[in-house]
Amino acid sequence: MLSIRDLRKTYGSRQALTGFSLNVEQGETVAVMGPSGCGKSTALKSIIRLVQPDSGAIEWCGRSVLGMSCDELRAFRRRTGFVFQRANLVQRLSVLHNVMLPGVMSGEPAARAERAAYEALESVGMAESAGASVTGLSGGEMQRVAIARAIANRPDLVLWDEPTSALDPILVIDILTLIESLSRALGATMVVVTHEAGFAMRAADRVVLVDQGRVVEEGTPYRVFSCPTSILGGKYAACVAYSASAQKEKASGL
Amino acid sequence: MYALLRGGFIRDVVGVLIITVVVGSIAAATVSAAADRFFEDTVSGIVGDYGEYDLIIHVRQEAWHQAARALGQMLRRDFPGARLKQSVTVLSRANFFVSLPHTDEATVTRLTRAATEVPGFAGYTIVLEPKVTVSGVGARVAPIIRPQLAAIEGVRFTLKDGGNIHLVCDSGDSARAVAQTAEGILRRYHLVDVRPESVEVSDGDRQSLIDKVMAGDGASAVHDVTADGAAQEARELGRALKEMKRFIEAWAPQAVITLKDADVQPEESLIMSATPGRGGSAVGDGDIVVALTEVSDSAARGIVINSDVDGATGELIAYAMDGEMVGPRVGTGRLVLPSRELGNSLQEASAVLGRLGQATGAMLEATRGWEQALDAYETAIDSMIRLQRALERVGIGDGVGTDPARMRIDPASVRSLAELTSKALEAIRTLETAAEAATMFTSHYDPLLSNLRLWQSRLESFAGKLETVQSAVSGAGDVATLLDEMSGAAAGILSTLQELDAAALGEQLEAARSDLDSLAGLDVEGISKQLEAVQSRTPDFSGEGAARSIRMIDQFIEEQQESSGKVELLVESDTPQEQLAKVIGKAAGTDAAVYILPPGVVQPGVRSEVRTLLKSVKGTISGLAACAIVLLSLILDHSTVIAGASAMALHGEGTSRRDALAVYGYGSCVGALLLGTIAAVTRATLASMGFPAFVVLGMAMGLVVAWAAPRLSPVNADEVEACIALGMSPSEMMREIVAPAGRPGMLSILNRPRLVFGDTASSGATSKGGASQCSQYAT
Repeated sequence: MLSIRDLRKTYGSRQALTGFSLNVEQGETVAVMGPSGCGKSTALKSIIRLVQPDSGAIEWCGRSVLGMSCDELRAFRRRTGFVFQRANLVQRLSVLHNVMLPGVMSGEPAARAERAAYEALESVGMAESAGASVTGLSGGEMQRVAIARAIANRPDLVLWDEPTSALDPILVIDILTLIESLSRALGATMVVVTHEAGFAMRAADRVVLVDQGRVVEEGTPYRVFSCPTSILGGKYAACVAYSASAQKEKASGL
Repeated sequence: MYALLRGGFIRDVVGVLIITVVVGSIAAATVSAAADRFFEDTVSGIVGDYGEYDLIIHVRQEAWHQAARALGQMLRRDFPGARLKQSVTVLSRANFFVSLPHTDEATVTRLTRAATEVPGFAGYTIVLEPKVTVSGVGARVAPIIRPQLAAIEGVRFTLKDGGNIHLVCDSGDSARAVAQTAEGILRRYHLVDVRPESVEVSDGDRQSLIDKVMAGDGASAVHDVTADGAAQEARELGRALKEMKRFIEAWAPQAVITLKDADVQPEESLIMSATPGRGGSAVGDGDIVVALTEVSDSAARGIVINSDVDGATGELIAYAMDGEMVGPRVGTGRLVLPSRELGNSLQEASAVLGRLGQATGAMLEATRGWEQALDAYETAIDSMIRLQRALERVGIGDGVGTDPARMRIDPASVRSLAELTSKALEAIRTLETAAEAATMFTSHYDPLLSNLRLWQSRLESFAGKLETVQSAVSGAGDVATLLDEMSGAAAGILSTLQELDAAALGEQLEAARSDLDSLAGLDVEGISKQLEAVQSRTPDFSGEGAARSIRMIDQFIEEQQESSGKVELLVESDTPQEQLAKVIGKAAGTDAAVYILPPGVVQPGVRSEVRTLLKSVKGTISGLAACAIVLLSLILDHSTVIAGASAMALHGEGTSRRDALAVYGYGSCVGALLLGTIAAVTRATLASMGFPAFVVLGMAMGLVVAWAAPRLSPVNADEVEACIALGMSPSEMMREIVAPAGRPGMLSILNRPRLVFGDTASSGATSKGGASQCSQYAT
């Protein structure tokens, strides 16, 4: 469904992607993990060409994304949901209008776009704040609105760029729970860039580990975190094991 | 940026540009028109509208009432249709503006001449518009270049006004072209001032110089335009100053010194003192200091430069002056004080005048008896005739030389003769008195007076003898002799009296009396007072002031002599000035100084200058307003576009390098287009620079705004990134996201009706309100 091959991107002298390759099947949820600055977000933004890669190939449903015309690219983007780290809401618009944006800009009738927006807001628990200004929302609420905006068009592909990195731990759980439920409800193909190993274990069909601009290991969450084949995989496995043993010790103590 | 413009936003930009140009042009034109109107009104209020008046006549302020009346009458009489307006008074000069119904050289010249007859006339200024003035044209240069200036296309007529030649133009638009053509004509001529080494330059020298210049390369025509008039005036002035010097010298207190073995020079100072042996002592306040003006071998003359010389009389000793000390004796001298001498003379004249009245009265009284004198004359002649007849009756009537023996003497006749002799004697005495009076006025009767006196003595002698005859009438033997003597004397007296021109005497006496009457009618008292006044006003030069004046006059005359002898040539040549100077210098000789000047300077008319200045001010104000408007538009509208485009480029809408260049290209193009168009529409100028300057300036402003756009109109990059991710086109992003969040400019205003989503963030709704808001959406 989504095929990324040998993607390369350089910012000045720094190589962000050094041959990133990834295949995602339709309806599959892939968690992309790796240390900060390893190229996860660049790879994710390259998929909808928010970042223009220097070389490589990206295909969606057999069509080259990099070869799309402007109109084709915009159509592809409208069918793709993208959730940013900092929500990136339009400040001058209300919650509802922010969520309606993709529908209205796709040419849908306003009423349908509004209905879809309400549904999306209800699905993220923000329907009550539809008429509110986004500037008055908390970080978690903003991210919920951003998620609603991303899914309002019922996209085929949803890309999540560390949606919880700017949130406090309580909100992280809320958001991750929401993403997990949405991934099941939407049935859309999802690529989630995250540092949350627990979320990956629970929600992802597959985990992809990225280091220095390329994929170093991939597999099912269980396999990657229990039998890693890469150093990075080992580190993540150790973290997961440490976290699990701590929970066991606390449980036995209780 | 390309994607933004290609995506339909170009229409928005074009719309903004058009409206900016229209609004900006109107605003700039309005501002400049208001400023122009203000300045134009100000100028017009002072000197009238452009071309409204033709001449300003300046009149002394105190005479403006009479001048206004006289000017009005003169204009009505000689220039029907002319208008008169009194303007402001400047520097005690009232100004009258005159507008003529028709202007030509003859009319204006006639008006300027007539204006000189206006009471209090203090000059005039020609304000004919439009005109170009060529100033500084010499009197002998003007006839050469004026016809050429008059022939310039666009010149209606020329007017000579002192050293100016006014070129009155057909229209204001042609004035600049006329000025340029006039400058071209003047460039062909060079006024060459040659000052040869010799002081005096003869006509032959001038012609020789002209021939040499003509023989050299470069000059196609040479005219001798030496200002003889000016030189003549200078010479006249020199002569007048010399006269003044003589006058001052004549009236200043002076000293005449006889030198004795002394070597003194003019301008040296001497001390005059009555005290001998002053040599070696200090100069005191009482010493008379003399500045020498003339020195010969044995005599010197100088001016006393002390003010107090009253006590100095008689012969004085002259000493040399050695700084503050009295030097050795150089001679003797005396003071000549013309002023004092004149005063004394006037006093004497006044005294004489007092006595004149008395003398005149006496003389007049004498002349009044002239009629009596004439009567006496008639009486004398009559008496003498009767005496002669009486003698005949006595017996000797048949002639002298009759034999005495035959004579018979009648005693009665003898008595009668004695009486007649007595009367004749009386008549002669009266006549003598009258003749004496007449001799006061004419010497014509002097011989008569002496004869009368002689005859008077003879008659007296004859009377005495008659008494003898009467006493011895009976037998006197000498009677015949006595009668002979009497007869001869009477005949002589009668003959002399008859020769006398009594009528002429009468006329002369009448004239004398008339003169004396006039003399007696003189106001002696008044004349005396006038004499006293003259005495009081006698020039009383201080010696020091006189000496200073004489030195200044001498210096002027000396300089005048030095400056004379120059030659002025008007050379027609296309040769560069430096080369021409060499040719003329070579012709004039190495010691001659050569100066090359333009024959005149073209000056646009004052009003034209003011008009041009106002036009320039208007253009500059338009330019400044256009700059301000364009800068405002760039900051409010186009910086938003540039910042939005830059933000889009940052997130994948185009390549960064191309878009970086594109935003600068956009800024410079928009700036140049806006400023250039508004400047062209409003005819703006900036520091005498035209359209290209505005284009360049607009480009520069656009570049600066493009560079500063992210700071001038910050765009939320996260919003742009989100919108790109949502599949919005650059135009949609610009309209929905960037422009509404940008500065409130033309773009924002034009974009407002096109917004799909209004500004809903400030609604503050917290409940479900989405449905109500959706009604506004466009489908």
